[in-house]
Amino acid sequence: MLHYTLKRILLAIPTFVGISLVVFFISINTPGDPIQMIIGERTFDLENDVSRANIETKIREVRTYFHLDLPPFYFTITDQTQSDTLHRIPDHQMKKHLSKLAFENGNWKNVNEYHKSINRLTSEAYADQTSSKNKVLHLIEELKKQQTTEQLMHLLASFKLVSSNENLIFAYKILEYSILQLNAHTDISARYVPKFIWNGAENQYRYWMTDLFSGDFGTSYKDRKPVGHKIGTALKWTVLISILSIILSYSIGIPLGVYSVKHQNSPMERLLSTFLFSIHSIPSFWLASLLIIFFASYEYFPIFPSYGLGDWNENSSGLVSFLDLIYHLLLPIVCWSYSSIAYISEQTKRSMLNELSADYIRTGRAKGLTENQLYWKHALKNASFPLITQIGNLFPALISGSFVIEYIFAIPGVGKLLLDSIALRDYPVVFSILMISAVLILIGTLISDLLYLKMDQRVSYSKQWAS
Amino acid sequence: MKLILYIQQKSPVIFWSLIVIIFIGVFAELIANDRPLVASQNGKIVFPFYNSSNLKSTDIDYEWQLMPLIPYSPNSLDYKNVKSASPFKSQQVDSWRYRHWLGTDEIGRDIFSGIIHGTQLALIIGLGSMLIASIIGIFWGAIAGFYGDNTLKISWLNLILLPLFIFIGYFYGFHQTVWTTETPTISLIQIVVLNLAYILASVIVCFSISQFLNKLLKIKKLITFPVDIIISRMIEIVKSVPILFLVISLAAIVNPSAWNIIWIIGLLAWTNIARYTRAEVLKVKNKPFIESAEALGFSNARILFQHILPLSLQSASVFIVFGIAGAILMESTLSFIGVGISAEEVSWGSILSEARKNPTSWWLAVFPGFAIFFTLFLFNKLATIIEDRNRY
Repeated sequence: MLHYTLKRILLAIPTFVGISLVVFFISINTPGDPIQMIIGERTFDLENDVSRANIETKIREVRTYFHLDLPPFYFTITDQTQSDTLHRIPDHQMKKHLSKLAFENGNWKNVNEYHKSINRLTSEAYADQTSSKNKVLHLIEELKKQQTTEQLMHLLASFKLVSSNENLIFAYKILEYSILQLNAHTDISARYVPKFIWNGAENQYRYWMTDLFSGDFGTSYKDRKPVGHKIGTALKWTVLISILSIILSYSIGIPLGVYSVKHQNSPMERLLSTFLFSIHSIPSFWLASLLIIFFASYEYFPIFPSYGLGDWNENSSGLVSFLDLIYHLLLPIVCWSYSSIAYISEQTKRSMLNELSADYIRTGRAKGLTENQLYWKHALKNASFPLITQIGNLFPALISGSFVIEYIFAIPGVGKLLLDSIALRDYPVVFSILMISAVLILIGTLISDLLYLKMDQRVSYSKQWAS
Repeated sequence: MKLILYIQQKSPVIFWSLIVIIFIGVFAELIANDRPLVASQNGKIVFPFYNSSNLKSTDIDYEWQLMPLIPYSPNSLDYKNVKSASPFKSQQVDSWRYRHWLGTDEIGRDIFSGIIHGTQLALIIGLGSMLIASIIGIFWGAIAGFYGDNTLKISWLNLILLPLFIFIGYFYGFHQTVWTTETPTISLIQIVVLNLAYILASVIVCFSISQFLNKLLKIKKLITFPVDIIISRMIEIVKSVPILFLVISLAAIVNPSAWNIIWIIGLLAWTNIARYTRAEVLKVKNKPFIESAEALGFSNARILFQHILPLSLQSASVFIVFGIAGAILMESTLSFIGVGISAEEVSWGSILSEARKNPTSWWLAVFPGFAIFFTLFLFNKLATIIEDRNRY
């Protein structure tokens, strides 16, 4: 038992690392520039020098704060055309553009010269006060979208710079020269030679993992609040409703299961089991929509509130406000738990049928116990062990199935937070929720496996004893 | 074939309902379309429904025309019946032939037509994603069950070659392919699929090459390779990530299209199939006829693919059918939330989400929801029928 438990827990460690790698891989491959998302895209359009300097310092701050100036992982596998220091370039689009150009061209030195000349032209353009400023800035934006040197040459051929600013003209000439250089020296053989770069412990993944272990889930891109706090408040609601619906589904599901075992093959039981089977196939958002339409909208029977939590807030207390909360949560809880009611009653039925063939039931009958006593007191007691282990499976399902109902009834739970964060592209929140719920599920299955093992041992023990 | 006959005998209602649903899915364009099926234009017989131009039938003068059963496309707007026309109240239509039998939505789209075309989308997503999932699941499950933890013996040479081959597969396969294509056209899903495919291919090549080298160099000292532990960890990783959370996160990141949804669900929903294939292969592996096959000197591959897999597929098929229902539910949930499929594609979930905006139009919720419920019910029932058959 101890051996198995230890083995099971140790094996959960590689699983945890694997999950974190999957989540991290998705998180660094999200489209768009993270810095633009943090700072907001509009600030990039500002054109005067003062705010540009401000933005540059702000970008630098944000990059060090979110560790975006570090390489993503412990090592990088790439080809010889790529540079080791590419991750230091702040502009996301520029980074992609340069590394693609290096791959197509094969000469990082020339690409670097090209990068310098673009930077020079950009600063000259910002210093320029004439109408050619916007024209040049627009050219640079266009250059960044190109993929090959041919495209760069093509774009440059169609561009005419007329300006009295000599510095600007000079910077433009340098850019032209660097692109010509790029075009002249193309050697793609280097791209077929692999390159292995060891980045060491200073990388984004390491910081992310150490932060996770110290309970710091990062900072939201949008409101700069700690993600852990945001998820904590949301998780409270989801867990509350999950627990309420687990209680509901056990307290309805078990009697239904016992009833259908007691009255097996009666017409009522058949109807019930067909009903419970078809309940499984009802999509929860359909039931929720129907309940809102028929019981919460003003057209038909406005009995229940259609969304929200009523007047409940952090400071509320007392029975009346709690009852008001329950009144608001009634429809969501019904939608949340109907399918687990069916599941629990099915499981109860299955494990009760197992128990009823046991010897002690026959002994009980011979002793003259009533059927009710037999079913409710003796059989159910033993049949309830597998049911308890089901909580480990049910809880994760309830949490991950929560978001549709939270979305429909506007409950500020984890699912709603996830959907809102996805809409806002607030990725730290999204990936922290993924990570936390994955860990919760991992723990849930671990506990239910261990419980099952313990129970199984008891069964095998009793069998040994019997024989 | 036997299975189909069994289902037809066991419960003809379920069987024929499934046939009808598949028929509707396949011929959705012929059942609900705003272009005529057959028409005569300038004395020639034409088939306008086939032509995907956006011209409505009223724009062209045909001498005669045969309209489909439902003369509306899911996206065609009926300007006379905007603001959700009820199916039971009077509608502004020319004749009963053009009536909206299940009503219209806010901008005048026909609900019946939407449900017919939604059937097509749901079936494509359900079957497509489960095809991918069952290929992955059966492959990993069979390998984990067949080799277990102590059967696969490899040499130290293999252990050295393995990282090298994964590196080569990643670099010359994946890295070069991704970088030579134009970056904007590559999506995250393609990156993942390509990467996994190349790494898997290089692992397989590595194992076969080192088997050959072992014979060549006469390496005798072998160590066991714990295949089962590694594959079980893989299953546990995918199983632990809440699939719906991951699917909505991914669906919001990648471009919205049905194709991407099929890949996302297919790459994530294979764990149940793999687990039960593994268990079944373990069970079949110890039967006497496998022992005799081994004694006859059949190769591992032949035993696995010809003798073990066909038997274990029976129990995996239950989970494939359950998985189809799960994938359809997932797709409709996604389109209900408004992520996943693109705005032009009509799905049951996207029609149902209209009901959220105007809760007084009950028909927007009742009919598409019933379509989802009915389809899920059919597939779940089908799965339990197959399960019962496997049990006896």
